[in-house]
Amino acid sequence: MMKRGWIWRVLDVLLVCLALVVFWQVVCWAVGTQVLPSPFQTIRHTVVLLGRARFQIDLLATAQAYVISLVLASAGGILIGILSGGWRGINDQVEPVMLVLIATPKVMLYPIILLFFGLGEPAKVAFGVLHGLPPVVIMTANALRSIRPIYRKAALTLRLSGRVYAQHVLVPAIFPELVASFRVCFALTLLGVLVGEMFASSRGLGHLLMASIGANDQPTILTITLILFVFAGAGSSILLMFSRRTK
Amino acid sequence: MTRGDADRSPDGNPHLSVKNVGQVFAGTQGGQHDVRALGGIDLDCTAGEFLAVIGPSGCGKSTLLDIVAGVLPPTEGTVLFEGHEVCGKVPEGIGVVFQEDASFPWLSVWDNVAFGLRYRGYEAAEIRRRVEHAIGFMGLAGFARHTPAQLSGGMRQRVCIARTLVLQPRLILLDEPFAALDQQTRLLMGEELLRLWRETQATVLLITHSLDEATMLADRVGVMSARPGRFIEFLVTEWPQDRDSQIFGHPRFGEITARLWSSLRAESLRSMGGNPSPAAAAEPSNGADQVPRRGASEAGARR
Repeated sequence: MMKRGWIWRVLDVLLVCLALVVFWQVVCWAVGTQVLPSPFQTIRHTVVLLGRARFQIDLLATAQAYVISLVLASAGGILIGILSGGWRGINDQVEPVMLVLIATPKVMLYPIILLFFGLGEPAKVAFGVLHGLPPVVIMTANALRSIRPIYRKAALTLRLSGRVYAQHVLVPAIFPELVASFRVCFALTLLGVLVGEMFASSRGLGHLLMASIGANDQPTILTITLILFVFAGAGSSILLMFSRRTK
Repeated sequence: MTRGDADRSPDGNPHLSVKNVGQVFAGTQGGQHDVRALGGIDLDCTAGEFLAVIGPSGCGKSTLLDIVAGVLPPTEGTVLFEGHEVCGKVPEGIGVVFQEDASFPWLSVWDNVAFGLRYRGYEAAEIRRRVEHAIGFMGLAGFARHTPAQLSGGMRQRVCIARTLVLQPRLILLDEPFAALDQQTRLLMGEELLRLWRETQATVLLITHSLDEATMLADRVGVMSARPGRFIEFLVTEWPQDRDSQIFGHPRFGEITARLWSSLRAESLRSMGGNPSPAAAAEPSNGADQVPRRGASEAGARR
């Protein structure tokens, strides 16, 4: 039963992807390949680009900045979230700032980021963290605050030490929410890094995307879009599956 | 409070002794809205006694249990368990089962039951022996690898009881453990609880809303007043130790529940803000006055 459910979910995803490709091909026929390259042309161009050293440098730069940002945003978010969820005084200070950060278009903060980090890798990492961290803080703090009080009582009556309670009750109790927050962080950090590369970087997929838009290089634009779509989609699906298993 | 020697532990003290315990929950605005939950509770339990506590909603039954367990320090009075004061933490030898499902959903039934033992330095073989016995005893043998989400509410509560049982408590505190269950399951769980009590010879303190449950299970039933809660009466059931739910058919069963209700009705009305009617204060006419009664400050009965 479990196996059948898993297969059906994969088939559902494949069906959606197939529908998107068909739609893409139909639009391509309608507007012409000069305006919108076909799926086949895009895949062929992707293979060509992946073989080029310059593209590999851009891909690697984005991957590197993304991994660093993701680690900083998720680890920092969990740490601040635990402090915020555990102590009301800290939460009163942290939560409004995080909510404002989520609501503010981050591009507005770019001059400030540049002022602190200058042009280059640190700025786009900071931009990635700025996108990914606030949701993790909010979700972790909420998870901690919504832990059932009965677990604390049960731990007391089982005479658990503080360390055992934290390690074997608190962490497992909030783990599903941590996975969910990591999923959000995974997507938003990628967005932040790409936006950072678009505005103030000489390397990376974001930078290449901006250059391609300027040169009206449709095949490269679609190639980058395709790579990001596949990466984000696959990552999100894997995390969603993992998230469901933890509940 | 006079008791015979046989009512006491070998050291001459009651197994559990609650002396003039009161609890005030601090409110806001400089103490103007402080809530006095308990006012002067006195209670002694003999080793191996099954005591049930009933009372109107909000009278402080669960607060009393939290204080006895050591989860909540009392603002007044003392609690002695086996002659030692309970203060600040749950003493070794006390096990608690709550009304709410306290099983850990991320663990299997086996791991839930073993949880308390794992972090107390028991050897793996001893953990296995105790857990398998508890799981078998509570009728969960076929579900050891299931998670709580795959079990019914009654089975989850049995997991919690088994988790308490493996620690071999000498005093078991139960805070309305069957409140969320249907009537048939409650009766069956009550029978299992009696079986557990007979096998372990532990002292049991059961908090319940149900008059039937209290009458069926307990050696002695304490009736609490409306807030601030204090004991207004103790009734001795005088049931044989090997009782089960068949005792519902016993003629004295109705007498005892009627007697309990006559004590409780006035307090329930008072807790709801009403006045007890004259009928509430009257003695029941169905022979309930034949039930042995003890005053609030009087100690309990022996089985």
